[in-house]
Amino acid sequence: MTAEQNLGRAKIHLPDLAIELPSNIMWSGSYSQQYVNPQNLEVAEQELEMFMDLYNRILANCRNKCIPPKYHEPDLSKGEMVCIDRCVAKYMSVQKLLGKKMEENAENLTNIGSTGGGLPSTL
Amino acid sequence: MDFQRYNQAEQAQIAQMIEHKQMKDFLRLYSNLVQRCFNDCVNDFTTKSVTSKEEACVNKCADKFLKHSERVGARFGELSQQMTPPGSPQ
Repeated sequence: MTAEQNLGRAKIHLPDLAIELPSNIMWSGSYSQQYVNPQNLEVAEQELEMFMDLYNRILANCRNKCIPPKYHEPDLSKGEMVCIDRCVAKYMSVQKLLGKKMEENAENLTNIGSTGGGLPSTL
Repeated sequence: MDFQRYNQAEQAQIAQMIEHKQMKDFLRLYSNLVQRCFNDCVNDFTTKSVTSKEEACVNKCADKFLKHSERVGARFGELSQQMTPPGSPQ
């Protein structure tokens, strides 16, 4: 009798728990039990830094090239707007172009290093 | 920059990191703005207070810079979406 009563009580408890916990965490019960890989964080941080650096460079360079220092009005003129659009597109294209070029030349550089060229060996 | 390959706990930490970096970047942007507008507009040192001409110039400079920043951000966003190959998981 008591065993059945205990079982009965257990049945009442378990469904409540099942509703509270999300299915992928199961019995751990805590959000922080998910493993945080520090390497992933570093990779994400580096990617983010690169992204933000690129954005800031484009901002500075296109401002220097497209917006003259004489301020007659607070809005961008049509010419400036078109210039900015083209500037951003060109900057990204140049970056892609040079990225490919660097990849090609990276092989050459490593070859030169292995055959003893470059820095003199007496250093 | 896709975040689907990170689990939830990592995503939370990354979101916090992004917020922190964005705040730092905003402060840098602000000091750049002040420097640029000061260099371009403020050249009259016969008086200590900012003249109305300089103030107007500085306001226009700031407006222009902010609009420029907005436009570059929009174009940059469009172009970097194009740069990620269409076959990548989203």
